[in-house]
Amino acid sequence: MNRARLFRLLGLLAGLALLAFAVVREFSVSADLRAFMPVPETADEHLLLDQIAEGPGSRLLFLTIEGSEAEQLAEQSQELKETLLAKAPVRLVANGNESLDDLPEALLNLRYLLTDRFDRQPLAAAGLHDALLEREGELASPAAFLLEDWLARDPTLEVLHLAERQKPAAEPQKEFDVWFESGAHRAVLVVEPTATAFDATANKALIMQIQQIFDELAQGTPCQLQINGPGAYGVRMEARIRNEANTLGLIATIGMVLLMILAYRRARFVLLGVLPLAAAGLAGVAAVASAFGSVHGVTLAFGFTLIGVAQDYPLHLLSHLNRNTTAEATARSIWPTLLTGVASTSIAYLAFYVSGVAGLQQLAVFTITGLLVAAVITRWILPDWVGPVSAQDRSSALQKAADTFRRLSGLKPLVPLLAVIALAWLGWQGGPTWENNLARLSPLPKAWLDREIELRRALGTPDMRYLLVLEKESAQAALESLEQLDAELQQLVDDGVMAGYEHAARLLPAETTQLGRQSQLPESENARVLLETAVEGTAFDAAVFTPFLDDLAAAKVAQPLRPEDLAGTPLALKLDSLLLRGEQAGTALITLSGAVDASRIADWAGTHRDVRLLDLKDASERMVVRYREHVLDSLLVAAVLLIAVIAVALRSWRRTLRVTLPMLLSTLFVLALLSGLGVALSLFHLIALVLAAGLGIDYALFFEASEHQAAGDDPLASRHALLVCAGSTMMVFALLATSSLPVLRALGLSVSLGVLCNFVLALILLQNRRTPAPTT
Amino acid sequence: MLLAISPIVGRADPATSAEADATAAIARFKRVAPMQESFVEYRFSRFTRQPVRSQGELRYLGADQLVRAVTQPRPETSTIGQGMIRIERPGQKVRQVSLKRVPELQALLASFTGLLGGDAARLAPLFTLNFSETTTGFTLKLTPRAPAMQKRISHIDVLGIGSTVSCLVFAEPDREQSIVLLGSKATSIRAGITDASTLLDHCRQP
Repeated sequence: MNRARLFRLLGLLAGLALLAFAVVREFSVSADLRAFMPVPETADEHLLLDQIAEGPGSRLLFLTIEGSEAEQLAEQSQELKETLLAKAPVRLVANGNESLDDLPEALLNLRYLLTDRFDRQPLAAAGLHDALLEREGELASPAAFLLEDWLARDPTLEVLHLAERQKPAAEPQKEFDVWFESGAHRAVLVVEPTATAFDATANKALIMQIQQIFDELAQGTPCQLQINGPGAYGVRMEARIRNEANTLGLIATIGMVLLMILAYRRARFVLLGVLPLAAAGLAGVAAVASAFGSVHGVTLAFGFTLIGVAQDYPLHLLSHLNRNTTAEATARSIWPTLLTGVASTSIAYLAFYVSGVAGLQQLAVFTITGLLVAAVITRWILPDWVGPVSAQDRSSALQKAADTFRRLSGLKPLVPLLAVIALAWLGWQGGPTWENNLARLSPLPKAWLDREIELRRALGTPDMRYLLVLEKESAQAALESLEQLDAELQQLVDDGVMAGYEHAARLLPAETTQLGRQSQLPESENARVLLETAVEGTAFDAAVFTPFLDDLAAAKVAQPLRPEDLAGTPLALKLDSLLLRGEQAGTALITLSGAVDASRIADWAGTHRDVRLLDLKDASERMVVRYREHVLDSLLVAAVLLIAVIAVALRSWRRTLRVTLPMLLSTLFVLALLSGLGVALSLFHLIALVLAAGLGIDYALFFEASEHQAAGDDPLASRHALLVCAGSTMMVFALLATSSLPVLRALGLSVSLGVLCNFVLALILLQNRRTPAPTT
Repeated sequence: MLLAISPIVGRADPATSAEADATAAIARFKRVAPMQESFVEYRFSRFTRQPVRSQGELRYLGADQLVRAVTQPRPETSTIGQGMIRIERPGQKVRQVSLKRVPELQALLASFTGLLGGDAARLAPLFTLNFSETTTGFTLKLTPRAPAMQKRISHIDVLGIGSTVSCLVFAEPDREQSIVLLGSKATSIRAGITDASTLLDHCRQP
C-alpha cells in the first residue's frame, strides 16, 4: 500500500514536471482579440473584421505628449518622430510636420503623370506664363523661402497641388507645425509599426522602446507620453491581467487557506486541496498550447477562474471523510456523483467548443482537461494521503450553520412565486437585454476604445459607419472605375448628400490615365520653346528653370506609378486602407465624411453594378446576433445532453428533474436580476452563466445524493462540503467582481449571483424537512 | 546732435570699444511700442533678372511681435511672434510656420525687436555686433552666430543717421539680398530703380 501510493504520487509529480517543462517550452500567450470575435461569413463581414483587425488602420499607435507648453511639446514630438524613424521597427511616423521633402524622389519626378491639372488644357506657354507671374508676386513675400526651394523645379507648384489634393478633408489643428488634439494641449503622433496589432511580442518590445526613447529625450521636463491603439492595448491588457491576477490571486489564496483551516483544522488538507487545482491548471494550459499553438491571454484569465469548479472536487472528498470507513472507500462512494458533475459541466463547455470561435474553443479545451485531471487526482491520489480521520476534523460552527440551513426548506412555496415574477419581468422586458455592439465584445475597457475613437476623430479619419465598396477584377480596374465615378461622387457632395469623400484614385491615378497624361506632355525640344515663350514679360530668366525641363523629360519616358511603388511612403498607409489588392480582385473603398444621407447614397450605389453601400454598424450587429444565436443554440443542445447524462447516471426522471431544477431556476433568476440591474448581456455573461450552471449541477448532485445515502453515512457531510465549496467559490468570484477589467467584473458578478442562487435553491428545494440523525 | 554721436577716439581696446559703441547706438534706437512705419523692400533673387519690389507697413507691437503688412504688389499680412509666423492673404487659408524652420525670419524678428526695443542684450546672443560711424551716418553690422542662421543670412546691415534707422540690408550667402527702406527713405525713393547700389546710395543720403 505504502509503496503503491508513493509510486502513484511520484508518477503524478513526474507527470506534472513534464507538463511544466512542456508548457514553459511551448507556452506563448497571444493577445489576438479576434479570438473572441465572431467568425465572419459574408464578404461584408470579412471586410468588416479585416478593417477592425488587420487593416493598416488597426495596427496604428497613437502617441500623445502632454504636460508642458505647446512649443516644448512640439519640439519633443518632432524629436520623437526623428528618433523613432531612425531606430525603431516602424513603417511610418507622422506628426503633421510632413513637408513636401518627405515625398520620395520617384514620386516627385512623376508629378506630371499624377496631376489632373493639365487634363483639360495641356501644359502650354500661356498657362505657364500666368503661373510665373504668380510666382513673381510670391517672391516678395516672407513666405518666399517656402517657394525658393521649389521654384526652379516646379514653377507651376504641382507638388503643392498634389499635396493639397491628397490632404484629408479635416486635419487636426497644428501648433508649431505639428498636430495637436483640438481643445487640448496634447501633441499627437501616429506610428505605424511593422508588426500587426496582434503580434504581442513585437508590440511590447516596440512600446517599451518608444517609452524609453521618450524618457531619454524628455528627461528633466514635465512632459508625459501616452500610447493608444490596439497594439498598445494588447500589451496594456496583458499587464493589467497579470497585475490583477497577482493581487486577486494572492487575496484568494489567503482566503482559501483560512477557509480550509477553519473547515478542516488540518494543514495537510490545505496542501491536498491545492494539488488537484495546480495539476488541473498545468494540464489545461498544456492541452491548449499543444492543440492551438498558443494560449490566449483572456482564455488564461478565464480558465483559471473556471477551474474554480475543479477546486470543489477535493473539498467533497475531504468533507465526506469519516472514521468508519477508509478514505479510499469514501472516494469510491462519491465518485459516481463527482463523475456525473464532471460529465455535465464538460458537456456545457462542449457547447462553447462547437461555437467555432477560437477563444471559446481554447476555453473549452482548457476547462474540460482541467476538470478531468482534478477529478482523477481526487479519486486516485488524494485518498492515499489524507491520514487518520477523527471526529474533531470538522468545525462545529460550520456544522451549526449546516443545521440552520436545513430550515430553509420551509421557503419552498416561495420559489414558484419568484419564478413567476422573474419570468413575468423578463417577458415584460422582451427577454434579457443583449449587447449587439461588436466593439463591446472586445474584452478591453470601454474608456480605452473611446479614447482611440476620439484620437482617430481628431486626426480626421472618415465616417465610421458608412462605406462605399467597389469590387473589380483588379486593382487597376478599380482605379479606372473610381476615376469614372469621381464626377458623380462630386455631384453627390454638391447636392449635399455628404460633405466629402475619399478614394484611392485621388491618391494614385490608374495606369491608363497616367499613360494618357504622359502622351500629352511636350517633347523636350518643344518644352524648351514653351518655357522661353512663357518667361517673356516676367522678371524670370529661362535658364533658371533647367530642373523643370529635366523633370518634364523624365516624366515623358517614365513607367507609370503603381500601388506597389508607393510602399514605405506616407501615401502607402492611406492607399492600402482604400485599395485592397487580391490575386484576382481589387476592392476599393470610398470613405464618406460629414453628415451622410445613407438612403440617397444607397440609391446612387444601386445604379451601379459593382458599387454597394456598406453599413458597418448594421453589418456588425447582424454578425453579433447571428453569432450569439449560434452559441445559444449550442447551449440548448448542451442542456438537453446534460439532462440526458444526469438521467442516465441517476436512472430516474424524477430525480433528474429535482437535480436540474435549481440550476434552471438559478439561471432564470440571474438573467432576471441582471436585466433588472440594466446589464446588457455579452458573450462573457454567457460563459459566466454556464460556469454557474456547472457549479449548480454539482451542488444539486451532492445534495440529492445525500438525501439518498445509506444509513451509516454522515448526513451532514454533504452540507459541510457544499458550504465550503460555495463559500470558497463565492469568495473568489466576489473578488473578481471588484476587478477593474469589465470582462472579469461581468464574470465575477454573474458567477457570484449564480452560485448564491444555486446554493440557496439547492438548500430550499432538495432537502427533506426531517431532521438528520446526529453525527456519529 | 551729430557731435554728440560722433566717434570718440583714443580707445585702448578696439574690440571692446566697437561693442560698447554698438550698445550705446542701439540704445538710441529705442521706440515706444506700438509704432508703425512704411517700408519698401527690394528683393534680389537668383531667379529674377530684376528685384521684386513690395511695399507696405511694418508695425512693431512691442515684446516679440512684428506685423509686416504688404499692400503692393499683392496684399498680404504676416504676423511674426511667439515663435510662429502667420501669413494671411485675402481669399487664402492662413498659413502658420514655426520660426525654427525659417532662420531668416527669426533673424528678421530678432533684429527688428532688438533695434526697436533699444536692447543690445537681446541682439548679442544671436549676432556679433559691429558698429562704425562717419559724419554721413552709421552702419551696424549684425552677423549671425548660429550656423543654421548663417546658412540663410550672412549678415544684416543696419544703416541710418543719428537715432534713425533708415535701411536694413539682409545679405544672403548666394549673393541674393533684400534691401528694406524705412520711413522717409521708403516714401522718397523714386520708381524704376533696379540696382542695389542706387538703393544703397539713397539710404546713405542725409
